[in-house]
Amino acid sequence: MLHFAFCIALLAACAPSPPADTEGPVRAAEAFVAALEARDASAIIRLLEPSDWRGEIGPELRSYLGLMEELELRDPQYSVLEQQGDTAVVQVTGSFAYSFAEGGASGERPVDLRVETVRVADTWYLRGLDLPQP
Amino acid sequence: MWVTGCFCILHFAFCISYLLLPALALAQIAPPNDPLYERQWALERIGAPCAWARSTGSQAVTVAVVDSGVDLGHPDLVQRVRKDGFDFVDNDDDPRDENGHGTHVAGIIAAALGNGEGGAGLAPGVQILPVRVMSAEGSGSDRAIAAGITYAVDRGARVINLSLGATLLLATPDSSPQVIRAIRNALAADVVVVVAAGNDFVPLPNAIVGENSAVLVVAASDRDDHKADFSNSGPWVDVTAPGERIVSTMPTYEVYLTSAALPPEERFEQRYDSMSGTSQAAPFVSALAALLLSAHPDWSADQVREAITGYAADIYPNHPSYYRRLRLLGSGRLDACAALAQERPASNPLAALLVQVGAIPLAVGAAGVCLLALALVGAGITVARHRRPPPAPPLASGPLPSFTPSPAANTGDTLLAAQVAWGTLRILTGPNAPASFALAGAELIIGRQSGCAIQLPGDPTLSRQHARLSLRDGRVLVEDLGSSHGTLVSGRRIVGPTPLLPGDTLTVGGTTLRLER
Repeated sequence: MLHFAFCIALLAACAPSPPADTEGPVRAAEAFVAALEARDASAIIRLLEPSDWRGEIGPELRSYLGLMEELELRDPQYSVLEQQGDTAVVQVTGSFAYSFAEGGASGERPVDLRVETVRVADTWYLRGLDLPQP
Repeated sequence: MWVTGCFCILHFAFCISYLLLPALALAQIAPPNDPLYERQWALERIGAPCAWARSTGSQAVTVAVVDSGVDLGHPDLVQRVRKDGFDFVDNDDDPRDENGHGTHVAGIIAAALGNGEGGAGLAPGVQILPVRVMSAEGSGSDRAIAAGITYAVDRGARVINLSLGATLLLATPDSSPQVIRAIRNALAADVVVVVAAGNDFVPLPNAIVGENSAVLVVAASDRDDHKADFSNSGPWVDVTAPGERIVSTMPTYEVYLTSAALPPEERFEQRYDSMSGTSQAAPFVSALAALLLSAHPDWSADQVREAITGYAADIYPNHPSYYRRLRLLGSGRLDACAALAQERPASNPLAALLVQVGAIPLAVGAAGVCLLALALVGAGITVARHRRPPPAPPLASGPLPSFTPSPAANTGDTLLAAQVAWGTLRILTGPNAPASFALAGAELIIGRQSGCAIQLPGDPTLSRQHARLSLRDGRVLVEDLGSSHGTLVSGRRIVGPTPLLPGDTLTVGGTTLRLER
């Protein structure tokens, strides 16, 4: 019996692990950037990892988004830097072109983001953002 | 007999004054009867009941809420709202809130305590001056914000709370000079400025901080004394305060945030509801500033600032070690009890700790809020009457060796030992590869541009010409060149030529270097 259990365990260990879901995290990051470009606060909120404060951050977000006239990520590149089970980090690079609603000032800044994503009930959400660690 | 009687009375009064009153003051008062108080976790967390035993605030102290306006008739605010507010959106004298944000901020500061209604503010005895600068949708022009700040100062507000985003907050050359000027004037009028750290994800200090180093920058924490996910952090943060799930007042009538303009799941309740953000953290600091000014009317804003930062609670053990090393959450979490218990401000070991500041690992969270990122630095600013801190101390060391002619641009790949004259700058943290730069010549420019003597091309947050290092009268001075993200010496933003001592850290953009001899 013990031998049988050992074989089962061995087989389980040798079985190929399911392929990592890299599409889900990348799609979440892409949706985030798209929501930003659309300045759609509700869309951004829906992309955040479910929490009891998720909807409460809306006023801050709307206020900031209201400052922008245009926002566009140019030459975007998405790649999964790491994935462990239900969490993954997506690197987003490119250049954000922006213009402000007031005064019309505009500019462009390179970005190199780490978007931390998490899978909850088969849906990938944003958990946090980060810059490259020094 | 009469003399003896007087003596006894005086003696009794002495005993009451020196023995009994302090004991009473230190005692915790009974929980208030405000029905929402038990949901106001932040008040307990920062020691509000203990602080209230010292002071609930004086009517002589006014906190200006420069925001979206205030519900002037809210039952928890009506006794505290001044009638001489102003609306700089519509340019009239009706600063009623049409958004909801300003009423929420006002309640965190001064909602009535113990009236059996709603919740309580941290400084329920002070007055609120409502100044409307944000529209119903929650946006405000730089012109309106600047005018609101000036108005608040003119009306005698000792504390001004701004919880809003505007281009003035963008750490770009496009930052609003008129708002910065208005805050500078407020500081000159003995005003302390407290700026919310914001909810963005880019490691940018608030542009206002850069121009006005005396401001207090506030990050947000959660109920477990962790940094709130959505809160920004960085070496420019002075103190952290609760900012997650903060229950406070909402207008008693329909406004934008309670209307069908928002999806049901994002809509807020009328009268009372909770919000999250650094906009909610800053008012706690404003309120504590008001309490301190109530208890110590003669204190300068500098003293208020020192008491707030000097008695903050250490929450760094709850965070990764680099948080303390880089001092990402300032002096710690606001502690109203400890600050109010002191007769005079004192320095918190954390506040005094010389820390290395570095490229901020940003951790931000709430995604997006911020994203706007690019340069968006968010939200709340709190202004209180303040005196600028004394200038940096002069260099104490002896004469430095004479310098050699200005070298060609350092590449950062090697230490040009032969050219070392007045020290070296060594990269501690940042996106560039570790390197040391020889300091020689009359002056050196640090920047991203190829012509800079110290070129750091890998740091996108660096301006083309970011800062100037020079040797004058044997002293190494550093001066910001109007950079987007400012320059810090040992964690403090500089506003003019500032001595850089051996061992000091110099932060330009996202790069931190140390001066070595």
